[in-house]
Amino acid sequence: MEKPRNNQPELAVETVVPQSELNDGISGVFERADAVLKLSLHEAPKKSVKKILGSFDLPNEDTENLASETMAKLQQLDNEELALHKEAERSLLTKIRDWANKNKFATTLLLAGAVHSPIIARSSGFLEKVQNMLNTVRAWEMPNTIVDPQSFSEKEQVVKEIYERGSRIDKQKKEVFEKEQREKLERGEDVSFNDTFLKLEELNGVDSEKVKIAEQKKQEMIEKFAARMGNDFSEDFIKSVVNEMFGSNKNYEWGQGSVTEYFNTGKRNCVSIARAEQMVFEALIDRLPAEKRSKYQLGTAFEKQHEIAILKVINQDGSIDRTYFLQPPIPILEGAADRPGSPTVDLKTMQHAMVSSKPMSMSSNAKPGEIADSPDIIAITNQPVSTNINIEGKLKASDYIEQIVEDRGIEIKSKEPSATDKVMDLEIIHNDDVEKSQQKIEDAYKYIEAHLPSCLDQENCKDPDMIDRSVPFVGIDLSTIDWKNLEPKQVDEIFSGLFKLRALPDPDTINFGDINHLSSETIERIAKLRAPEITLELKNDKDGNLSMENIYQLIDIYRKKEKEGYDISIDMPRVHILLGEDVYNAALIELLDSLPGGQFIIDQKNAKTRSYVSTDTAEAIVHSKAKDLYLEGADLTAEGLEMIIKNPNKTYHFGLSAYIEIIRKRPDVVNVPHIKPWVDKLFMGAEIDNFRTTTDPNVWRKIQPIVEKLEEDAIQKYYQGFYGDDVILYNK
Amino acid sequence: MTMDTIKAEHEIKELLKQLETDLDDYYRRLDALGVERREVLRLFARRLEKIEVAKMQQRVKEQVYGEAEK
Repeated sequence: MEKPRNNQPELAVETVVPQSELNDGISGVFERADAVLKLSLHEAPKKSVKKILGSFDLPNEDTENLASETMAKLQQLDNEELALHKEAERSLLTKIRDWANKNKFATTLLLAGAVHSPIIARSSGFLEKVQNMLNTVRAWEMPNTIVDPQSFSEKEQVVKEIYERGSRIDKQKKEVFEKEQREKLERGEDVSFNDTFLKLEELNGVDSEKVKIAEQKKQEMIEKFAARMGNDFSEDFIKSVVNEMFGSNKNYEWGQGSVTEYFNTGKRNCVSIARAEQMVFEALIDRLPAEKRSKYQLGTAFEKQHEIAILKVINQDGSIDRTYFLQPPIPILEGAADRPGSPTVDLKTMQHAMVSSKPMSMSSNAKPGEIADSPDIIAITNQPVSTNINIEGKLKASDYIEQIVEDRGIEIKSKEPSATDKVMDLEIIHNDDVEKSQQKIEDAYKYIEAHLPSCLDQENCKDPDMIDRSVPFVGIDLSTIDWKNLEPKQVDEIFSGLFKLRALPDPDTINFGDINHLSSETIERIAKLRAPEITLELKNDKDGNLSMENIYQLIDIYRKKEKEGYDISIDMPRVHILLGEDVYNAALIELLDSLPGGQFIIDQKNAKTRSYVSTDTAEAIVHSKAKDLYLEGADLTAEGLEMIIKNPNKTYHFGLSAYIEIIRKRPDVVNVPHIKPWVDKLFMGAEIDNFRTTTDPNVWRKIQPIVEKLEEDAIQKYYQGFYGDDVILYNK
Repeated sequence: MTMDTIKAEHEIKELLKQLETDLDDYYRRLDALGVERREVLRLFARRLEKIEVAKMQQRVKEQVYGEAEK
């Protein structure tokens, strides 16, 4: 199956950085920043000078002046270094802050990347400052396997909520409050969980009005339960409180982690409802007769990616009589509360951990026993207050989660590494390394295969447009092969991979590098390829001479095909010519004059300085017989543009840099049917910003929708576009 | 991946690139200060050496000429 051609043709050899590299990049930059900003480990000037003096046997009066002069100089250097550290830190933080203000969603992702990178564990301060400055919460979960029920868009919504909440945090107030609570707990004072937890949520950015309402609702709930509890908790009473707190729908909402949200709307995850239950039961225990209160102890049981509030009933001798797990169906464990792979912690310890600066650590094997492997869940939770407890070791799978997963018919699967995890790299291929080039070709097809839509009905799935759009841009870069020095047999081996028949779309382009390094036989072969495009460089040799022989050989093959009756704009690969920057204008004009009626790309993007198309070149462009001409790397003068507008003898496709310059000068060009944008690169972020700020606001208003559409088209072309991670099923 | 995420990742890459460039510059300036520091200490040691040599020469001179004068 040949890959259908896009309406917007492709440019070769743009690589897309895999997502997984982003976090490494974040770590790397912050690690370097951390290292630069660490105060250097120089000895104090006095110590350095003294050490050197120690190796000489000289009286003080002979060295005094010299030593103090040296110390003063060293001190001056230390001061300069200190100033440099401060300047660097201030400048980096300012840059990050300005960026963060502008790119809010990206800020949250950046923070998530930083939070999950190993640097956090050994940060010496800079990252912490970045985090504080970004003013965003620390905890959200991003484990590594796939499961519903949280869809990607739900996750993104949670990320947005995290950011909004993060922007409301008053760090100073929060630290003061946490310190106060810490000191009270250390002094052994009785600190009510009810008095602190919602306050902590508010200090962590939860809307204060919502917190107030939650406080009222919580009180109403406590009053309601207190009215019927009697002098002690019966088992029925405990179960009725839990069941009523969960309501008829016993499920968790993975994204919802705030207790405020739970009291106000009933939406909860395991963490928020556990905290809410602990508050309610704490208040109820307080209302029991004094002699009964010590009979009950609240806490939390941890399971893998899950936690459950527990209520322990304590015997008079201090041993545990039984433990209620406060989630339906409220199982009761006789005796000790810990289970293999499920340690528990009491409420007071939790309170302490929540206001501590460093996380508390505990082991998962509080009770020995076998713990089976289990898959992870991908979930992002907006959880304002972290339990701040690190559990070391393996945790047991949650029966409750397994039950819900079964009830909902959700498929949990361990994610195996696949071709989609990695966009093939374009590493250098040595001339004797044919195997690597073959591997590269196979990798490209594996990548295409991994991006094909899954179909229930194979026949109907062959909708060419759908297939084309579902596969992101794929280029095979064979330009680093030293074609000149390959044995004919080795060339055969490489082409055997390219000519192999496959039931897959072909890659968007294959780059063969400098055409003057290719043999005549190789040029014959590349004209026979099924790929939609072949990329070739045309440049001067090392002595500054340009040979046109090989490119004309290729053009002749196209011309012959045209004479034989083929529509070479459809039947032959588009030829993408990367023009070297020293190629003189006359050669370009000659080349344009020689083109037959096919699709050709004249790409001058590699030029260091962007120039204007000269009048005689513009004339050659207009007079060229090419049916579709793609141009990039030089801008049109008003005169040149006018010539092109007036000559609809072919379709002119301009690369995005050239196209936006054209519509900036002449917004009406968007309605000229024979001038089209050519999506030849990723076009987003700072480049669009720069363009916007340097464009007349009146013009910008006119062309903004076009620019935004081009941005979307570029993203769709070079990434997976709008299909996201979802499997596309179509069985019309 | 959705459009928002792709844009956000691109923005992050742009920021990281800028930070890298700044960090390179700071590294260079820190290095230069380090070189200067080592140079100051080296010069200090050399000048002490000279003083020591001068003193030794002085002592030798005194011993030789002092003896002769006696």
